[in-house]
Amino acid sequence: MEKGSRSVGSAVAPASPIASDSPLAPDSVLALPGGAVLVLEQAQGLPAAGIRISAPLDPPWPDAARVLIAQALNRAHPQAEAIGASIEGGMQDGRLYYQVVGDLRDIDELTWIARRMVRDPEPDPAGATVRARKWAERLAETPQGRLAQAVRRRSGLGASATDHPASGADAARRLWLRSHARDRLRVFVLGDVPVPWVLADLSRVGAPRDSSGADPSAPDSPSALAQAPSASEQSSFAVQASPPAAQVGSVYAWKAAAFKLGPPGDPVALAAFDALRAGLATLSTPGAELRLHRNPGGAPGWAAVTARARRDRAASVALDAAMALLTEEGIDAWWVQGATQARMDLLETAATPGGWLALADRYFAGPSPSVGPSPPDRAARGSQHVERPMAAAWPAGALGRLRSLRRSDFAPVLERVRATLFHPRVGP
Amino acid sequence: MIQLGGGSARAATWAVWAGLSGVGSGAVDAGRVAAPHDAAPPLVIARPWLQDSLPLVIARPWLPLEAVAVALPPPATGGRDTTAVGEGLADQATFRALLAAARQATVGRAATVDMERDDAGRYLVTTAPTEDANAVRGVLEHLVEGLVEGRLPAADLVAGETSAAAALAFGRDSPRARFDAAFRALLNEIRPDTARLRPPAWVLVRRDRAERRGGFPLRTEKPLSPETPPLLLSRARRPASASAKVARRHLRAEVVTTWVGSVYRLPPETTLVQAQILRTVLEDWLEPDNDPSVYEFSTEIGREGRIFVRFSATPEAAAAWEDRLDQAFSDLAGQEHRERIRALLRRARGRWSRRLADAGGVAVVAASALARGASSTQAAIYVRDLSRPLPPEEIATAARGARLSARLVYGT
Repeated sequence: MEKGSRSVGSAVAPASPIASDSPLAPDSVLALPGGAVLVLEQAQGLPAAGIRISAPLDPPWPDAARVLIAQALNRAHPQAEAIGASIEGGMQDGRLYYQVVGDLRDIDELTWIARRMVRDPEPDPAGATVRARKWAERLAETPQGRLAQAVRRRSGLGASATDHPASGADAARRLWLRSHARDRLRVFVLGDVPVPWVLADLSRVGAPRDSSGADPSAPDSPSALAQAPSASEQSSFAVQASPPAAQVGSVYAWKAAAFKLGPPGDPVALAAFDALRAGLATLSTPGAELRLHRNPGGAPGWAAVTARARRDRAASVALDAAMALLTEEGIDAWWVQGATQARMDLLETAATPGGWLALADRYFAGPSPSVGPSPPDRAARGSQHVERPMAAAWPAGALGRLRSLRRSDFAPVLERVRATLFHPRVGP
Repeated sequence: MIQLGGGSARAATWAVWAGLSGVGSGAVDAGRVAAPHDAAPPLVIARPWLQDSLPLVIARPWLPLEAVAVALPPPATGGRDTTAVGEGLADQATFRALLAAARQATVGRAATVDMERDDAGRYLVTTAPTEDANAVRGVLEHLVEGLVEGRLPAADLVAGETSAAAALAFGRDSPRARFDAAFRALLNEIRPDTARLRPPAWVLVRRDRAERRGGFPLRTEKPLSPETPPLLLSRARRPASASAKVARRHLRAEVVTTWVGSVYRLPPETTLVQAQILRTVLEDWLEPDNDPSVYEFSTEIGREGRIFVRFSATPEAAAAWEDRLDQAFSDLAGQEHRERIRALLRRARGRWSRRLADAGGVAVVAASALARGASSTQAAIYVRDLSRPLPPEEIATAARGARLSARLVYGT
């Protein structure tokens, strides 16, 4: 479809067209003073519409985030079910997100649901907190869970940790106040809806900056950081919460290798992952089962391979064979197929409302610094402002890169794999 | 191998199929569906450029890729070679071989190939970026042509037979497989010779509203005629041969779960859209997920327009659920639950909209309509209307005319 400017009425100036004719680039991006960044894609011919709101995971408290997400899903479920909409919440690339997709004609209800998902947490989220805690405990009971914990620690996310319910609830609220401030939110809308409507309904979501008289987004805000556990404390808590590995029996020997391929969404890293997957599909490893994990533990850009076998040696041999695919020689046979598959994966994802919203969020690079003043200046001037991101930052750029990849482009990825490779103990 | 249509000469086969079904022959219809609702998505169809396979084109300007689906209606055996899963071994082997050959032929291309099925047929569906779509479509056309002419790659056929035999053997003696086989046999009894010889029918979902391909321009778009009648079940159904008598069968087996399969006949003037929405509403009305005694619950519109309902439950709950099922049709036909039905219709609309937002999904849905005998225009209307508001009265009318025609109980 053609990308062009949108008339947005008197509230804001017309959006500048995105400099790309790619179907993956959004139609327009609007940055409102003191409000969220609105990313709009007017999908013609689509009977469905989707809304995604994301916030930075700041401070990086994944368990508090899980409480927010669980509460949001609980709040929204009845309304979504009533109109046959799907809802989703989670963490991606260091951000929390809430998403709803449904019939285009239910756009008012979809907006209402999105707003409900983002609103402040209930004062007594014991149920959600307990579930988050149980989830963390269960994580330590399986090889996959132990892998996730190990990668989280290594990647700096901190292992899964959960406070006791009271402080968990408090942490959720503090996280919400800080990360869900209006000017830190991104709102993505996909659907054949007019821009003025989007502005009217979605420009005021999130926590107002002055709700408590202080700026909760400030890093040194007392309300935000008081009693906040540090990452290391969270890690140590997780170690205490985990049952001793020796107590978990298994008839299998497990081996694992975890490594970072690159920044989340990096085209070369995506292609390398798919090249590894293609190579593994043809690898013969008698007596051993290999599995490839993308973003284990939610660590963006990371991957892992696990090998399971009756005999320890068979698992080791299989894992070595798998990792040989990520060497200068091993990648030769698969990188072309990996690039092709990664490109197709991107397109397939972008062809669904939920997938497009997720990709748009992933590849959103923020407004171009050369366009528009900083938020305080804008607020002081009291004027509305429209900005646009660089087109190359969108999946269109990733797609083009995947189409023109060369073998030499994989060298930095392989180097990164070598530099970050470690072998977490995931078996008993 | 069993050939679709049974023909060995390509021209003869196409001629036979075209003559039998009317698909791929007759007047060309094309155009944009008129949108009575402001928010209704524009839908453009166009026909065709090839003499042999005339595709229905559905335009979705937003899509970053294209989807191609080809409907392969039941083979000449009519699926009467009863097995645990309905199709004969040879049919399954052929379809598996077709899928394998399609995947093999697209290795190295940015494309996905999958196969879906329902009672009306099999659907080979691919998605590919716009720049690769023509090539992928050519691969599919070549393979389907090979299927028609009985010249699929021998290696793929052997592999297909092996995997189909293994799949059949794996579940052959399970209670579930026995129930499926018995239910299929019951269906064959009440719908003699329901398989219709139809040629493969093609659906393209793409961004462009018009293009040239191989020198054949797509026809000029024009609004779909409001006079175009929707696809009625009477069109999909063979002349009625079934009596009003309900075929009931109870197969005793020492199993801990009871399986029940029911077949409901709908009034012949019911449209396929009404039948599909009624089926969707029926599922939500009964809320089987909320009853831990019910393990599985599924509904389907058969190729002749009947509603199939299958469920498995504890023996204690199964009998009560038989009654609940029958009562549900009465409830949906009445006046007293109109508000709840209206709410469920809205939910159904949302679900269908999400299904139709997917390129592959809309291609398969349209292909399924073609496999049931819809013209291109009717298939386009079907796709459009599935996500449109449906008055509760239409559901009530269809439910009021529903009649139980067969029921199979497998269990103690």
